[in-house]
Amino acid sequence: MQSAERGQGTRVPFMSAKMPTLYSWLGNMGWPILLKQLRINFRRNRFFIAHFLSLLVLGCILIVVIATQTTNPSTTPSQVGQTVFAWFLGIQSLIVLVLFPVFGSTGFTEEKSNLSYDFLLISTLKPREIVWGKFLSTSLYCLMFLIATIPLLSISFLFGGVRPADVVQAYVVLLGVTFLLSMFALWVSSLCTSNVRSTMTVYSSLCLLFVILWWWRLSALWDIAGEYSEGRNLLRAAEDYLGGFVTDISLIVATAIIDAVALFTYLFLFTTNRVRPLTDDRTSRVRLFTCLYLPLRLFLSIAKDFEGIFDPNFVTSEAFVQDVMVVTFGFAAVLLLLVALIFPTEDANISRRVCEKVQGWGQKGAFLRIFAPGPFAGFIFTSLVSITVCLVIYWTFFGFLAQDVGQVYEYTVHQVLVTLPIYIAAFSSLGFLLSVSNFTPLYSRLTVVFVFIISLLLPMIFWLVQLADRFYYFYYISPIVLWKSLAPDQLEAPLAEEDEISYQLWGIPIITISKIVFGAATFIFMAAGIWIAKGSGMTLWSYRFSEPKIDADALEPIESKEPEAGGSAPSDGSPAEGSGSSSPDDSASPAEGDTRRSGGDLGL
Amino acid sequence: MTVTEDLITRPTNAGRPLVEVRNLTKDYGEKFAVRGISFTVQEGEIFGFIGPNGAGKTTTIKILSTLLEPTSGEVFVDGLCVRNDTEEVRKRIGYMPDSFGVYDGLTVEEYLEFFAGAYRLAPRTRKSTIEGVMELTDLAKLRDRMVSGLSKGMKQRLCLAKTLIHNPKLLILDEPASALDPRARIELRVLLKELREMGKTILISSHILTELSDLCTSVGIIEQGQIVESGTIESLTNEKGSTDQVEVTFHDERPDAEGLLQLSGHVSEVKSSGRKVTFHYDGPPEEFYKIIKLFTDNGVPLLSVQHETVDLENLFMELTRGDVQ
Repeated sequence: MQSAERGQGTRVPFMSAKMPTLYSWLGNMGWPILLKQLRINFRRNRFFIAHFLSLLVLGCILIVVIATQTTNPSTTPSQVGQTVFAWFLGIQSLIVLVLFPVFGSTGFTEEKSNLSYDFLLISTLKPREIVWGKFLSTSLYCLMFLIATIPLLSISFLFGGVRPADVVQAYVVLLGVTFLLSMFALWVSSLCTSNVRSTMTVYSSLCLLFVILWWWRLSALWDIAGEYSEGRNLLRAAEDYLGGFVTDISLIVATAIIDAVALFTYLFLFTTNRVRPLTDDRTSRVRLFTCLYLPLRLFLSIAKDFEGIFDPNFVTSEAFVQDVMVVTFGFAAVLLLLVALIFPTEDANISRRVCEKVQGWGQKGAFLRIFAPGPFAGFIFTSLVSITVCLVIYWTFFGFLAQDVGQVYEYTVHQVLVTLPIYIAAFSSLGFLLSVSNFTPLYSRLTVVFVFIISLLLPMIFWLVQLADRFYYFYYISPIVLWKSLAPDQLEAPLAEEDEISYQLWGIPIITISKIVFGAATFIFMAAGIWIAKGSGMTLWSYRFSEPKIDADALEPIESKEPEAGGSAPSDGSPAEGSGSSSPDDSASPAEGDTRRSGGDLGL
Repeated sequence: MTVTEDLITRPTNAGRPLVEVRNLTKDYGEKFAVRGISFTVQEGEIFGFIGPNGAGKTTTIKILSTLLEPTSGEVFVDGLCVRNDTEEVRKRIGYMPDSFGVYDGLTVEEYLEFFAGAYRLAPRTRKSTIEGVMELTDLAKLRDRMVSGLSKGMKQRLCLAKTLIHNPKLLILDEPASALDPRARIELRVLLKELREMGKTILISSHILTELSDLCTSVGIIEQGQIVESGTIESLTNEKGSTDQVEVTFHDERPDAEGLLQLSGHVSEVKSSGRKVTFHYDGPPEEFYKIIKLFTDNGVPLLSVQHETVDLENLFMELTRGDVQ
């Protein structure tokens, strides 16, 4: 059967010999989907009603603002213009946040409830083209709204005080928020099956996000708006507000842009993964992007904190450098923990398609397997990334900035740089163990988070049980308090040789015990995970696919089975007809129908 | 060249199967939807996929359509593995599910334009292909009608037109006539026959067995995730004994009827009950009159003769038990 064998063992090159041109990549970038969506949606009343009502509300509020501002004799025309502009931006942002997520949140759920989703999946459109098409059509609504508001915006120009640059900056930010929102809503829509559930999820997430952001940073916007109406331009107002902290806002802006782009890219990749079959490679792109984003973000974080160092009037000190190090370590630890949470907890049942793809990368590129799907490769990837990140931080502080770091903190930094990868390895090996034990990705992740939270609570537990004597020092094993023992406030004076190891248990520094405990946990989890994986025939690093073991009884011919007494109840414990559970034949799409280890599939 | 000529599929496989399913298994955790099934569909055939609800038809069809991954086993379409050559397989198949949605906000032509784009038809041939499928499915006069205004039967046609837009070799139709009225069913059957004449291979699952027996050249009967029988209807009926069942009702009780029937060499399994006698007849149809003659020559008055030919329905009932998984 030559013809049939032609398709077997097809090798997919890691990078095609013929690189795609920009045109071929952009050429069919969701155009059929975009055109279809525009045709369908522009024929709906809700599009026009939403735009009309938004413009009406915006216009009415602006009239009230102008009326109140112009009646105040102490207000100059330019101040009126700026106040009108600030109000305009605020209301417009609110409308974008409140009204437009609904368009994105039904992007995929509409197809699912309309039973047309399968048609998209089996067409020759690539997942990225489907997502792009949906994204562009969703964003276009907001874009059209933003364009439609320009005449209203021009009212503020009548009073003066608003520079064109301010308008451009404001619109760039609004567009960025719009794009992010649309992609977030689309991602949620790809996870949900009904329009209502998707829309509710998007709005509740936005409310939660708004509360968190407000608590964290967003309230600063009011202060910046206040500075702005004092007669400064937008960026200058932001600089003035942040003046106490930074001398140049450009790095903050760059960081915000990089974060927004990264968030957008992750959401795009996750949404695209949801459109892929479960058995496809859903990992490599996310890992590659993480490798790009993580160092860049850390570099920006350090540069942002150090940007004043190039100012001749800037006074640096060891304490300042130490503060930056602590912040950098903390930030790196959070990012690495996220990496440890996501990649080693991937589905351990690697499909034949993925195995053949990874084998196609070739023996020479075996190291590329760290980008391959699967929990073991995820563990290796996480470990390598955490080691690399710590080495980069070490080089930054002791190589590049060596002159600013005194010897007093060297011991501290060395300890943290070695301990952090061990902590990360412990959590990622736990994720690996859970994954090969056939936990779904979601449950693996939740369990790791739970264990992490427990480890954070360790200090409280030790405090509650009032452990006597030096057992109290176990307190410092918790990741969150380990650095407390190393923080500057604990080290007011240069350490003497004997002080360096003041936190001891049985004569051993507590940080060494931490390393031993977490190192041992890593080893035990890894050994157990490998043993379980080998026992169940899972591939770890070789990516040789083996057919799943199927119970012979399950495949016995139906003729040999005795008919059921009564004939209605199935013999294998599956739900009887009419019990409300759906049979496999009811499956609507691979995402919903292929329930094999699909629990918690968020597109990661 | 007329526009529909674009849609003609010329045989390329020279007798090799267009669809080959080998030991296909699909499980959903503990539950098996399909258990090690194997069958083939030759190019140009209309293959009926028959089975009770929950037998595994839709799962098999979804695997064939690249919508589901098999747990084990292999499925080839036109020599291409559905798992590895997904994109190429998608170009060769047209899939129409049992329940589907159409985009109500589009016109018929726009709907087909969308799928022409989704299947990357070249812009220069796109228009003529759309014309072709609309002509074939009799939708040309409705081109500017909104999809929301179409009847169920017309939507079915539109979906079939969409399925044909990229000129696939294999059409996979899952219960295509399940929700149609009698007229629409007949029209669909005519259309499918036309498509077969155009060289399309059709894999169709249906519950309406009488329609399938008219339409199909071969069938696969599936129950509890396993293929019970597969092959041409003729070979299956021969294999299962192509005997017609006959029921004769007499004017009064005739205990001698059984003895008379034994005289014919083509009669078997004679069962007598009161005034009725049932038996199997395996002789040529044109000689059936001899049985009647046997009774009339011997002065046995007949009230009625019911002659039931073995068809797909009988075969299905005989081979399946109606169990669900």
